[in-house]
Amino acid sequence: MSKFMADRSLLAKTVTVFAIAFGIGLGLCGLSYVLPSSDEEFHTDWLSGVSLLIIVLSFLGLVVTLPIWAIRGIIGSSTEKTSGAQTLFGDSEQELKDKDQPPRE
Amino acid sequence: MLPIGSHPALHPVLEALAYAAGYAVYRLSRARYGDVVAEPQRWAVLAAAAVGALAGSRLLGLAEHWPAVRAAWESRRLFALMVSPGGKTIVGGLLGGWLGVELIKRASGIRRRTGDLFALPLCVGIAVGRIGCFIAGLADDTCGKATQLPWAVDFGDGIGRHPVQLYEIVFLALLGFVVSTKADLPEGARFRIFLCGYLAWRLAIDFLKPQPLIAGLNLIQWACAVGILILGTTFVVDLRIKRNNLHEQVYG
Repeated sequence: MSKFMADRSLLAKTVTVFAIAFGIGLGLCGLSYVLPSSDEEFHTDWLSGVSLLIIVLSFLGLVVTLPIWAIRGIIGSSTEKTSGAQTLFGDSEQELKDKDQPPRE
Repeated sequence: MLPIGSHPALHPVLEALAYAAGYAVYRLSRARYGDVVAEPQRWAVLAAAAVGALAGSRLLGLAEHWPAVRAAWESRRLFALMVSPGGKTIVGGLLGGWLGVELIKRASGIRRRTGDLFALPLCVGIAVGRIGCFIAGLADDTCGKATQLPWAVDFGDGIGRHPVQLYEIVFLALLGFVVSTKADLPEGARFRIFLCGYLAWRLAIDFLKPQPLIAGLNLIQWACAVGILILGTTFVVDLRIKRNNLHEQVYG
């Protein structure tokens, strides 16, 4: 768990998956179909139950992981600013530039 | 008139396929053309885009149904409405995702333009997702106005309508072709072309959708207009900064 919290890429990936899952769970673009006054011609089906389950689970996942990711980023930012080692959320641009440079002989 | 019917249950299936297709194209593009940022930064950008897109899509989607939102607020069921199925829009997703990325870039000190890698995947993903909207028909609230044209489709109510979802797929194929050109474009230009092109398209095509209007435009069209205005402003500002930098380099 501590390794999971320490790995910001893994946290970002988890947040991404939960956000996309929530979006898919929402289903239709329109809202009128699910409102009480919607046309009775359409019927709910088993996929509606699955959608609701995905929405609830991904919402809970986002509630847990999103603040951790944000707080981890803020803490990382403040510590890195004092040490001057890295920028928030990953490699600094200087490091990237260094990576692009050919090795010195 | 082509009888299509309405099959809302298939919408989430096609949407999941849309994300999968978009991600596959993104991976291919990244492997082929490389990336301007490192892997951890890219995932931070992706996460911010996903969360921003979700928020923007949901907010604009619910705003389109303002009376329902107000009724839910008055009956203290707003949270239940927020986490209930239905109610999202691509335009809100794009604008929210864009804002999310800009915020995370500012917070993390990323100065490179990171959107080019998203341009083609977004074209592919939205096109696949629109197949789901087309199949969902009347239930999706994205169908077109009534028409007598020979390619009109019947979503189950006996009325021939513009297949606006299919029009959009054709447009996205053209836009995808444009943004994947091999021409040497400045960093970030491909994403700007995509976003400006898509917003302009929605501004135009939504006249063919039976949505309530506010001062001549529906809510999504207003969002498109604001998005294009912001894009245009940032483009002009960037151009001025580049000119000033060039002037300083030449004249010291």
